[in-house]
Amino acid sequence: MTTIDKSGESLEKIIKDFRNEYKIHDWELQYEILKKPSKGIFGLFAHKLALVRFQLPSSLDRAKLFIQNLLEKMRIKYTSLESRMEGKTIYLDINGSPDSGFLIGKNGSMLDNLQYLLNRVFENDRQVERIYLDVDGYRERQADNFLKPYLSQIVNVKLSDKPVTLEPMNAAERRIIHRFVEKENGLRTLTIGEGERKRIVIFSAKQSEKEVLSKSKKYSQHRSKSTDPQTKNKSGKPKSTPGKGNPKPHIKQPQMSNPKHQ
Amino acid sequence: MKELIEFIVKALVDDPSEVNITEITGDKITLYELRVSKADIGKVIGKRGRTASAIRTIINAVSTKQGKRAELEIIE
Repeated sequence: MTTIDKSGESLEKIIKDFRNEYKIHDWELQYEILKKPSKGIFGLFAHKLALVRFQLPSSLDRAKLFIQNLLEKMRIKYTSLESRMEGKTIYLDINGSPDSGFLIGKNGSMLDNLQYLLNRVFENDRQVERIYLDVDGYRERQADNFLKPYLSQIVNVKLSDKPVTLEPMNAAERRIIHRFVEKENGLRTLTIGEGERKRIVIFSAKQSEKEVLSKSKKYSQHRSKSTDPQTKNKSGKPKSTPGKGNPKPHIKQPQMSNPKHQ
Repeated sequence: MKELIEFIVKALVDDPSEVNITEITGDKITLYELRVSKADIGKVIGKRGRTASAIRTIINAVSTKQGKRAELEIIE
């Protein structure tokens, strides 16, 4: 936490202005009064301004304060709240709650709701891109379970150097696969398809993305017939372009590399 | 329960001073009428009502846990 000193005529006004300036909620407000204001006696002595030292909470502090207060108001006990920030991503893990089952809910529905709300509250905070909420490592266990059926396919790519295209998945599921494969040496991932039909391609780092794309594009074009014309255009491109390793510069090159960034 | 709703909604909106909750106690159900400033209604409801639904789910679960029933109504 950083501190900020503010001075002014009255304590109330200093606090009000500070809260407005930094959008500080009731539960985030922390300050100490360094100097009380005085009007002087009968106007004889010059009046003194008040001075207040505020604690300015970081985004991580604010996220923690929100969850701590939320749990308190939900009357849920817990032993610790772990928190860390990596870049613009915040991870919060509620540990040791007798109500952990309640917090997780059916198939993690309660946890998803709490996490959704948390992300909406910090939507306008530019320091925060995403907040992940977990209870006793539940999400981590779920990720492990989710990965299990794909492990053999991932190993196969490693052994055979043949790219593999997985079935369509939602963003959360794809993230689990991406994050896991990233840790594996010699393997890379990319995403093909649009909207609900996005699929992950796992491929060997020995291959170039372009090479993999040109092969899997035909596949994705096949599968996503009802997508917008823009996609069709994109997926059609690799077909008409010359084969792999052609060094000849192409005018359409920038467009060709577009699908990679989807 | 009122405190919980107030806390969540105040965290969501831009103008917390305009958050107003009326508690109407019935035989079986307690009804909470929520009023926020016009500009903040969208924030409380969310895209396709996702935020409102998340708040309602939490309120229902917490009140059930305490052996009560609560319902949240957002007044526009």
